[in-house]
Amino acid sequence: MSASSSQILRRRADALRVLARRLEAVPLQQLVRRCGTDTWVGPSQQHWEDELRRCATTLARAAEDTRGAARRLERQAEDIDALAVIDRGAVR
Amino acid sequence: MRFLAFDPDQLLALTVRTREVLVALASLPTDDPAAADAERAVREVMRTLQLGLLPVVRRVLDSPPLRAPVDPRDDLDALPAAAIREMAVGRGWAVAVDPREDDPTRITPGEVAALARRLRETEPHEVFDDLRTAAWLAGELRLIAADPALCRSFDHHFGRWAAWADEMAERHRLHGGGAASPLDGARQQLDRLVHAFGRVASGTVDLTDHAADALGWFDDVRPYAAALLLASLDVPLGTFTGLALRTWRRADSAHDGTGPATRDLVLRAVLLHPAAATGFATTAVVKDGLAHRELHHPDLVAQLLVAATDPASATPDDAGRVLVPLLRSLLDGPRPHLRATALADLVAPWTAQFLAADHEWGVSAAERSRMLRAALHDTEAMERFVERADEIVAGARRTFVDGGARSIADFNSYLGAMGVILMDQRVRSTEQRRTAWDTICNIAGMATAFIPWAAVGIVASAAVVVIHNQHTPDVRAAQTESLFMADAALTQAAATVVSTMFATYVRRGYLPDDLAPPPDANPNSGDVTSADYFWRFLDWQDTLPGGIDGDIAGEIRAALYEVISPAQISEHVWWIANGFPGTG
Repeated sequence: MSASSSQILRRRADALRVLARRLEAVPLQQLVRRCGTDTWVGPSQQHWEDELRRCATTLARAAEDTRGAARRLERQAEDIDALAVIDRGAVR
Repeated sequence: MRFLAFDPDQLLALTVRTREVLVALASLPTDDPAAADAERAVREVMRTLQLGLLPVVRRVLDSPPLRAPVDPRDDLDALPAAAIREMAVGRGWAVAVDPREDDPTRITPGEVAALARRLRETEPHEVFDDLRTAAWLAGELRLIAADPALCRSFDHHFGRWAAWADEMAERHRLHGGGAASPLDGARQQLDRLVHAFGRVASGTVDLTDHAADALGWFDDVRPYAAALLLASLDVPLGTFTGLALRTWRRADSAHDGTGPATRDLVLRAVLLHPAAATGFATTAVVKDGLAHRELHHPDLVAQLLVAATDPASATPDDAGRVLVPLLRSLLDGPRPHLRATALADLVAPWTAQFLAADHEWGVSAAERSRMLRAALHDTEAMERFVERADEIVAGARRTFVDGGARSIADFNSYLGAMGVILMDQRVRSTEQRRTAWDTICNIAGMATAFIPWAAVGIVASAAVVVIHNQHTPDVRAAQTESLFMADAALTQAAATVVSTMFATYVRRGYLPDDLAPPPDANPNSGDVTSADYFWRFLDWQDTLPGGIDGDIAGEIRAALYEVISPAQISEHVWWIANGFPGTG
């Protein structure tokens, strides 16, 4: 492993954080509101409002999981950097 | 058919927004392997929107509108379309058949509110006269009942419980009350509606409500209607009991002749909620003349009292709170409307409490004994009592074996008294006399519970087998026989204790196994059983190692005297020869 490996991991972590932010920015909550009883009333309305809430929850959970993945990559990068310092010390 | 009301412009806007969301989702960079879960989530949401929501919205928008605006006289004016009608008429929306019309499990808050408002404006008979609408309404109410939030919404918009409950009650009464015939479709439909209304009403009860505050409208409906709904309520125990008691009391003020039928319904409802039986009976017996009011089916009172004092759920104190006031009215009047056999059913599980020498139920031993005798005064009551042998024995076991806090003196007193009661001269048939004798033997077998070191469970059952080898005694003159049987019962208990101790000493090697066993009690000896036994016991203990002065003989003798002493035996002999003191 090299310092460039840790840089790659950090870049991937940054990209994952961007993805998490964009997942959170998907306007699904607005869609839930638009699916309310101001638009339509009946069994389908209730069903699809529930479905859209479920979708919003799914995306929110995906954003959280993606942030977790970014944190894990970040920790790996830190481990690689620490190993590199130790290796250099051993060479001397 | 279920309808969908919609604002076409808003629904179109929903389509546009959905497409915007799809574009946003499609542009997400999910190619990193660490984003695999996110990619799956995005794909799932896109599939839901593309293949689910958008086609449905498109179908609704493309469907020919039924009416826009709706003509109030068409089908949408019917009760099932109440919510849609509100939207169509009130907002000028378009109406279509809902793509989810076949989904029987959904009712929306909007539909609930609209249905409740519509029912508030509808005369109940319009629904009850139309079986199809009534069936539909029962189905909708069942859906509402499943969700307390929907129930509260319904309650908020409805507010005409009393009128609807009274109409249901009137129709129930006209159908003859009681149970529905399977052939009477209208009555069955009515029952389903009553049940559904009751369940929705239950859903409005906040679990934190004080019992007295729940379902305030219950006092506004006719007593018969309240009683009819009671059976369908699924509310906390305290609330149910309170409502049942209030309804029972209001039956007295029913001036339309429905008092007895109302009481029948209340008792049937309480019997459907057995956990409420004890609380209801405790109050109703004392304050509300539970066993003294007129009913169409008086046996319901007996059923309720048996449920209220069932040892499976009632403690001895619970039973006392019901039985003491009830049986006092047997002594002091007015006599309760109960069959003699019902009285026997009620007292059979609690004989130990009636006959205990210790303070029990806040009533003196003499008065409790008088109550029991009063309950068994009629011959058919006495015969029924003997038939309930299993409950008698189980009650004695709960008290003297499982209870653990009783003295052997209390047990002996109980056993003697039961001997007197069970061998009553009114028990005439051979079969019943055998049952009575078996009952005494079974109770006597419990004496082993008072030997501290005995393995009671095993030994007691073995002892009962020994006792059952005895023969039912011959018939004698009534009083003498009662005294004789009390003595015989005690002797059986004593013989059981001695046999058990002997068997245990042999098993442990303290006594040789070829030693002659102790004597059995023999009620057929021709002598007073205890005296006959005592003399044979004295002979037998001489055969023990060390004879009559040995340690083992001393221990066994001490245990025997715990159950029946020489002084008691002398008393028994005198009583049996001369009559019980004070009986003339």
